[in-house]
Amino acid sequence: MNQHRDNIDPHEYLASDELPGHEHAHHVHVTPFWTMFWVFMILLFLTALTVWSSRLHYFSIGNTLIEFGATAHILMALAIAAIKSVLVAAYFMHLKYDKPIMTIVVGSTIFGVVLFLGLTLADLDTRSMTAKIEAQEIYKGGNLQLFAGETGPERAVKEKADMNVVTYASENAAAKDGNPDSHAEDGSHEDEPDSDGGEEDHAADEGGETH
Amino acid sequence: MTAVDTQHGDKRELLPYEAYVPGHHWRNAEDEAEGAKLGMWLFLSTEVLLFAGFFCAYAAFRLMYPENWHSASAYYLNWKIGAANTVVLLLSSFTIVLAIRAAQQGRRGMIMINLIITQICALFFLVVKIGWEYIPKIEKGKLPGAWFSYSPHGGEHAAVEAGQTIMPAAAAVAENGVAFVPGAHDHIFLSVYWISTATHGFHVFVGVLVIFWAMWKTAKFHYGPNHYTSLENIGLYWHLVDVIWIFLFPLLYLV
Amino acid sequence: MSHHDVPYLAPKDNIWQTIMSWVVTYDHKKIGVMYLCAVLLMFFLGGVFALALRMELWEPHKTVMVDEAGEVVAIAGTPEGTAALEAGATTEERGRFFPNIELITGERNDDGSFKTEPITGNNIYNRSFTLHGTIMVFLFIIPSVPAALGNIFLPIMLGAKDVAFPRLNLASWYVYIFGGIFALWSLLQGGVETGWTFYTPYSSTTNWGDVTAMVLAAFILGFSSIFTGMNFIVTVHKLRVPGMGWFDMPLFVWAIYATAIIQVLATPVLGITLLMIVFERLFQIGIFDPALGGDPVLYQHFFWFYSHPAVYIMILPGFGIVSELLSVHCRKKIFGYKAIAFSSIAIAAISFLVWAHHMFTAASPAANVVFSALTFLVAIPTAIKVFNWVSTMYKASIVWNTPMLYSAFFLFCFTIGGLTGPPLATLSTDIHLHDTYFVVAHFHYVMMGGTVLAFIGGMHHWWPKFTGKMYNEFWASVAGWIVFVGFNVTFFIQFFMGTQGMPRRYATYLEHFELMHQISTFGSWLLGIGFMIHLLVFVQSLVSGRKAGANPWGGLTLEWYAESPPLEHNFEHEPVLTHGPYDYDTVVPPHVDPEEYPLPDQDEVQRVHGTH
Repeated sequence: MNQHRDNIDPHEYLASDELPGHEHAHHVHVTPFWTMFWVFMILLFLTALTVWSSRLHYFSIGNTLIEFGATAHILMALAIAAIKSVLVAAYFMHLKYDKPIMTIVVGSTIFGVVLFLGLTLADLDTRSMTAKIEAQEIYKGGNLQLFAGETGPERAVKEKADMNVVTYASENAAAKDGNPDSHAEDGSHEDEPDSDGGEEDHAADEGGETH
Repeated sequence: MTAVDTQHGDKRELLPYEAYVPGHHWRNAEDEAEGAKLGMWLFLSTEVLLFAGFFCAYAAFRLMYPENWHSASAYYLNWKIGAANTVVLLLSSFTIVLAIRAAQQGRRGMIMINLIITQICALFFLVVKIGWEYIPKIEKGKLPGAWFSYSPHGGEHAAVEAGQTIMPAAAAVAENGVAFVPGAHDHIFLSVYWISTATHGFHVFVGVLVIFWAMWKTAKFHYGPNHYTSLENIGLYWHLVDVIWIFLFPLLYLV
Repeated sequence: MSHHDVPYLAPKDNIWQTIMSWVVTYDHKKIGVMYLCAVLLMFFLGGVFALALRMELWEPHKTVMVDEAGEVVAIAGTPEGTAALEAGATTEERGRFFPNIELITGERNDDGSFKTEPITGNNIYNRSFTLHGTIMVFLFIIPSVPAALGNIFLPIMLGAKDVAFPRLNLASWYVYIFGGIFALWSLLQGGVETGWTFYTPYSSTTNWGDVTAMVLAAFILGFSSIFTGMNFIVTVHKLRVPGMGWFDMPLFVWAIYATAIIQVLATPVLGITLLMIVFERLFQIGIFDPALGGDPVLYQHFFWFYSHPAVYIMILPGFGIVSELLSVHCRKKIFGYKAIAFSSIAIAAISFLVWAHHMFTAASPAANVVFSALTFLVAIPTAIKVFNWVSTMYKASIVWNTPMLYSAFFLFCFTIGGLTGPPLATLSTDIHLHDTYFVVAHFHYVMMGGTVLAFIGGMHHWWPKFTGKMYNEFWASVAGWIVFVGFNVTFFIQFFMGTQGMPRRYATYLEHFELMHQISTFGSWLLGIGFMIHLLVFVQSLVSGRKAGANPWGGLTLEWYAESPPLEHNFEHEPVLTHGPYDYDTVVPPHVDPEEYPLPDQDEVQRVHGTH
């Protein structure tokens, strides 16, 4: 076997503990308290940050006004969540101190998740690229021809308008992520206290949708 | 289990963690512990992919009904409850790390204290989830899919009368193929909310059970510097539950 | 110590102890044997449904799946059927041909009794193909090689005493049985008509039969698969015998390892998908139901994200078996060891990239272009394997016993199955071939011509090892030839049917397909006969087979160092690895009786390969 030793294992960390007669000194990596404490503090800070950023619609540096739309909010929330997860995995879950194989497992998992979400959404998001062709075939002489060249939610909104369905401004605006016009409406939603409480505003929406 | 503690020359029974012997097919205890940890990580990756299904559904419907999705998120859920639960879960993650640290140092009392704090956090999470979120939502009819019967005008039966909140949407789909009325898909948002948080809540519940088990093992001297594999794996599981929530919270409650 | 030195099959002191030594065993070999019995039973059950399907398709009229009075349903394609349909015969009217068979639906009458609907022969046909598919996929082929043969041999091949998590291993078997009971329950409730793919909204809204139980069955079986996969990955990483590096592992282990990766990464998505169907049925959550604003194509993405990689869960272990069989029975070092090993991993990785080629007619055309291109990538590692196997056979001293015969059958059938893949991966041709018998023939050539043939080859190869008995070589070979001929007669003609537009999952067909369907049905009888002979050969071997030596084939992997059947802890002493798994040109295999298995002439070997 010894002549093959050099190429038995592409991952040296695997071979290193499995050679015959290889005895490990028993060393436990005791988790450092203060590292963990500060990681915990950073996690709390990031939680506050994610709440704050989700309610942030304008941000000004000097004369420059930066505006955040729905897309920016999602990206910020996901970025912060990703940083938090990396911290939890690296420190709380000990990945930083463990053998690389554990990280490889995590990496393969993320690979799977990214493929799953990425390719599925790639399909769903490109349906509208061809929808107009198919739509024209299906609805002969229908109103869909009016919207040829437009795709996605925007087209849906126009169709609603065409069908005399009452739409309201915020819907039209929010339909297009990142459109600066939409922020006022977004803001008004955001400023509603909660959720389980503030029902009047939605009542108007309901009226719009049911008639 | 009886043995001589030669170091001090006096006889005493070895504690369970001292007397631990690995399974017959393992070469040594360290290999066994590492194998168990690798197995746990593989299990965690199955959990991540399981939840990926919910995130995929979330993303798909957000893509399909963006305007509706955003208003539903802001309207049906109380971010304060979600934020409180996030903090509680983060704290419990921290304390279970400290429990493992205590096991490494052989401080049994500290293991127990930290596990108890973790357990209180977990139960707090569940109580808040059920008492402050699920039950009011059920009462108001903020339910998934066809069960959705919420009407802003109050009464629990208001919307059930004619299925008003859903029927226009269904009709629009049926008649026109693509057009959707604003607010027509709140019930889909709530479906994603319910199935993802309920599955996550179920994982928290399982976490509560295994943490009780860990407390029992701590009380019976099963964790010590040489052997704390199952505590470590419970910790990994608990952190994963935390990580899932780290993603669920902003996606469902905030943006 | 002493009681571990007995063969694992040895009975205990009394019958009760013997039974208990099986039902609560942590021994991977016993669990593997229990898995083997279970999957073979399921293979039989799935086979019965397959034969029934083929029988029904003997004629375009109703053949076997008729009501008690035996009346023939009028169907399109026949003169009287066309006339009846033109006269406006509806489903309800056709139902009156079957007054005596009633179907319990999920709905209740006002008085609390279940509503019944007349069941038609076509319903029976739909259930039969659904059960055939579900049983064969979830209960037979996915656990067949990894959980049965893999369980028995993976630890032995690594020189380990057991898998990493023996209790989890036993749990996986019980979970499998539990899932099987759910499937059986669904069957007794009247079966399911959705096809094994459970496409929504049909699966989430139909009241025919008990879809919930069947979906839960598949959900539960997923856990069994995940447990097995986790176990094998950790076993390969942590329990190799000292000195065994990654490239000293037998290729079967590589294949099972790649399979396990897919099992762990893909199966949970199936779990959540099926759980959502259950939610959909119980709570009408509307995620997949277009009537509630959901998206049925999203279901297809979810389902195929698992089920395409699952295709490789099915075929990769077959690759592993063939790599073993070819090397042992050709008595030649496997050609391109690393290429075969890495191509298994490559297939596992690529398998996650291509799922939407099952939905070319449903997904967005823009995404289809990407998926189509990615699908062709699979051909590369697969072809690498086939070329390496053929190269292994080149100038080898082949012994044409049953395992070798099956390896050759595998190469023939799998290559046909593989080469009919590209037409389906090509967007333009797939639109024509989608959901036709071309697809049916293609995946049967891959799944049955690939995995099942490899599985049966592997069964014969390792039969002496895990039972300790030899089988009758002559009758096994005869059965092998009958299966091979029967398989090709059954399925080759289906390529032609498919290109001519015969759609799959139809209980009837246009008259000009009749001859082709009859040839196919005739082939299915041959298959049935072949498998029955195999069964008899195995039974005869168990009852009165000659005792097998430790190494009847002259293999070099570690399982041939163990006794036949192996001891409870596999080896008397932990084996010492002194050579690679396929070093036939330099090493004399252990325990070999030259009478039983003539060794290659070393002089000739040296003349061909040069001196060592």
